[in-house]
Amino acid sequence: MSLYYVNKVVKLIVHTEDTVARRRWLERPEEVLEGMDLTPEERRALLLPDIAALYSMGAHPALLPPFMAVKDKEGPATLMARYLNIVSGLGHPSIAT
Amino acid sequence: MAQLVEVIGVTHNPMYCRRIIDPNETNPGVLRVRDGFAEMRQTLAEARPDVLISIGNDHLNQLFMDNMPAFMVGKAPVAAGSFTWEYANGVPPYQASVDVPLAKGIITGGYDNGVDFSYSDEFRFDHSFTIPLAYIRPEADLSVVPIFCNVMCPPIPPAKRFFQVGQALRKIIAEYPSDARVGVLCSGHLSVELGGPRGMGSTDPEFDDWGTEIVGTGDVDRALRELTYDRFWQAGNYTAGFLTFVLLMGLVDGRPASHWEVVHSDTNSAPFFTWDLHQGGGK
Repeated sequence: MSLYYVNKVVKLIVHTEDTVARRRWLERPEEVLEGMDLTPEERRALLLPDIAALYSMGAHPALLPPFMAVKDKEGPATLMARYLNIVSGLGHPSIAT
Repeated sequence: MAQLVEVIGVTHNPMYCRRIIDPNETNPGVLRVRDGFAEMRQTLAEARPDVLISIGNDHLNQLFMDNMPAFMVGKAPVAAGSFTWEYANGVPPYQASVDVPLAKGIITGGYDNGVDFSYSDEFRFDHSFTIPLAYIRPEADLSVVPIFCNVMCPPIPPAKRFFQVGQALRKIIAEYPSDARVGVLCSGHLSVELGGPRGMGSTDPEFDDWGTEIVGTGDVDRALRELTYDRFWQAGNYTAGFLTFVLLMGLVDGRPASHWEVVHSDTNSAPFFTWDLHQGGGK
């Protein structure tokens, strides 16, 4: 488990002025993951993205809605409703890295 | 020696930003928050501070787990914020000069008082700083010294440590070789979730009443014993944002607040705390 690197990938893409990094993520995500210490499951969850899996493994929840928004272009209210539907019932896994 | 004249603690919930300036807003709680900020502005003005210590926390906008400081002093010459993605939520901008000598005095004073502050010569304010500053000192005419606290990325310091840092800050200010009148503007949270399954709004209104009372009445024993990380986590995954108010308890040496209240609304509850030290302290 390499939760720190899961958060690092997410942080590279969200809460940043670096639009190049974001475009790279959208066009060539495998490149972004190079050198990151990630398990196959973490890579899969990031690439999809599988928000439920990321949340359950303890990815920082403050970063997940904006990470979801990178690929989903719906409005913020719709996106947040869908996000909450995804994490509903998943409890509060530890977010300690 | 410098004089601590006013200590203020408020919410930094960005959900209020658009609503408190909306002339069509009708929710009584939101309107009370709007008026509360106006009262805090007046309270601070009456204390006639020369400089402000601004206490808050970064929300993973710049600080990250590659090098996460527990308590960090900003000592670049200028402090400005917020971030592009926060402006979209109505978060106000703010810019002020930094009182660099005082910032350095806090860092070196920390070494003498049991706190090794991290420091930064390159930082930005996020909404936890711009909201209280923009609403309570919109003139932006005072130098500031920001102190960033880690309340989001465990392991975070316990309540006892926040209290100790507040006590250290109190001594540092009292021993600082200046006749400056020092005001403190601190922001934090009551129960709240960020990206958690309970969604927006207060996730534990009982905590909001209970926690606010502990700080407002100066109940240090309960604060240090009962405001645990597990209790915060139970109340909401980002409720540890309340810990900045425990720092204030140390800063005012456990005095009850001059004024404290918790405002309930249709979004997260909002606390207001003031310690009018220039008038002889709290109640």
